[in-house]
Amino acid sequence: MLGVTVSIFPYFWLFASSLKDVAEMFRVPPTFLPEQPTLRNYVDLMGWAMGLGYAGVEKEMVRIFINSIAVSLLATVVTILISSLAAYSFARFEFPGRQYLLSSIFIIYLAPGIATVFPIFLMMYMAKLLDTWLALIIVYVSAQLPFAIWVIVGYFQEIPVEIEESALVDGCSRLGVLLRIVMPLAAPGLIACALLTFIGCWNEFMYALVLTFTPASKTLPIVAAETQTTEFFEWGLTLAIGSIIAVPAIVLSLIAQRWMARGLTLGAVKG
Amino acid sequence: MRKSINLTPFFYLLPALVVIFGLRVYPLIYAIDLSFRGFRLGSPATMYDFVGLKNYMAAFDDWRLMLALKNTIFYTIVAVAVNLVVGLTIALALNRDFRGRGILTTLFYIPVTLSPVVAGYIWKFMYMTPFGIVTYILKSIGLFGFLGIETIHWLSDYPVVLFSIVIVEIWQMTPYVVLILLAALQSMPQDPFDAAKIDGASRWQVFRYITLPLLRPAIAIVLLLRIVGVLRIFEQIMALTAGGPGVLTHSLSTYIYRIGFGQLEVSKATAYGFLTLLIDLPFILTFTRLVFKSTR
Repeated sequence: MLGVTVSIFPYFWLFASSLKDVAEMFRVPPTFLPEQPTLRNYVDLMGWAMGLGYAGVEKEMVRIFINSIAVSLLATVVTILISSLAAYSFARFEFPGRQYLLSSIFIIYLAPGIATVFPIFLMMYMAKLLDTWLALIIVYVSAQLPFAIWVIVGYFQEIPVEIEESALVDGCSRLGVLLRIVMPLAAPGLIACALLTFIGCWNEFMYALVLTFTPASKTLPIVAAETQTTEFFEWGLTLAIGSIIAVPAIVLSLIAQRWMARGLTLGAVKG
Repeated sequence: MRKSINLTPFFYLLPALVVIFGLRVYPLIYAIDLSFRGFRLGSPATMYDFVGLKNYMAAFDDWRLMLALKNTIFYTIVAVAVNLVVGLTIALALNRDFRGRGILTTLFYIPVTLSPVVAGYIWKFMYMTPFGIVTYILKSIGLFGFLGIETIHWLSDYPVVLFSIVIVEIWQMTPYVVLILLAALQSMPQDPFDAAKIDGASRWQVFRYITLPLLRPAIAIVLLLRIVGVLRIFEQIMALTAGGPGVLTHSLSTYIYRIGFGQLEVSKATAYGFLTLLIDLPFILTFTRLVFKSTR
């Protein structure tokens, strides 16, 4: 089965070649040679992407980068908070309709985004929230929440109840138990979940496409798409932005894997 | 587990429920309502009146929608099938210890972390004829000479482009499938395998009579997960072809997007969207039932 090694390398090579290609060299017709001096061109290109290209790109790019980070970060924080609360409820309380609610949330999570983009667009329009961070944040939270709840419930259930029980007996409030005992104990899982959530928001395209219009709130994936219009394909820019999007995602997911000791199939649903 | 008869659990659930209801359930209802009206973006409010099932009827007359449906079914079947077969193969291979396995697995997993848009653009770059690597490599192997053709326009020759798109999806998600299957493989009980070895079973027999049946739940999960995932394929197609040439490669999601934001026919789009949801529904429900049966 070492044929597997052969099949794996193309993937790696694929990605590497995308970085290599981030160079002006691709303009060499008709054949294309992948071995080029790489990083220098890449840096040049970044300079190009930020300096020249189309008007005012530089300031915009910084802003857009900030948008992506801020929206993803805020959405992640809010998601983790809300889902921890909800997950705690599912993990520790028995109440009527619990199973039903949990499975309903799961089903809602699986509903295709395309079914709700239009109403959400209209709702945001009427709330005058188009082209704002807030719109993206709350949409992303709603999108990531079910998955996060699902995963965090799993982590909470791993924590022995006795610890909480003794804290409660000692006079700690329920909320205190959650904040001071459960969450710190579940921290690795929470961090892993946070990282995954962040990546999900960072990479998101469809809702960002629909809800943003100006550099005030556009995110990186959208801008990457803009470099490919019907008239021209600014490949240098596209690949540069693509790399900017990809690298953090890869790094974060590697970190997340370290934090996810087990429970991989706990809620392995990806939208 | 504490039994609480009071309302505490619901307070904890409240923020989550508010968000989910407000931003997932309500919009859906709103969408259904819209789909019964004749709403166009940017039109005066008088367009916003009840037209009954007109939009739904239009769906069946819309050959482009039918084409998108056909495409989506194609993408789904091919992507999921290949994902499963290749994924299983690789998972089996990764199941044994060998040097560098950890690193290989990590590298292997990278495509999954990419934004589908980015994956789409990477591949578009590799596919584009003047300078695409794909063509270059195949040319150097001599494939074209062998097939007697000049070159292949991966993104504009009709039937080919469908495969080009599917390959991107497969490339991106196979590692994910591998991960799930690998986890399943590694948590399988050792005894049946030992017994089989003692009895002198061949590799193939072991695989067929022990591994596969034990893997069935995991395979079911993978199948449903992927089906639900590919049915809504959007970003890759937008990046690679934007539905083109013409409308030939649209998926349900990309086509509906075009209708709603391109043609501004929001009501039609929501009607189509709801139909798409109906198509998804059996898979979603089956998947949910499966997951909840196994994890109480």
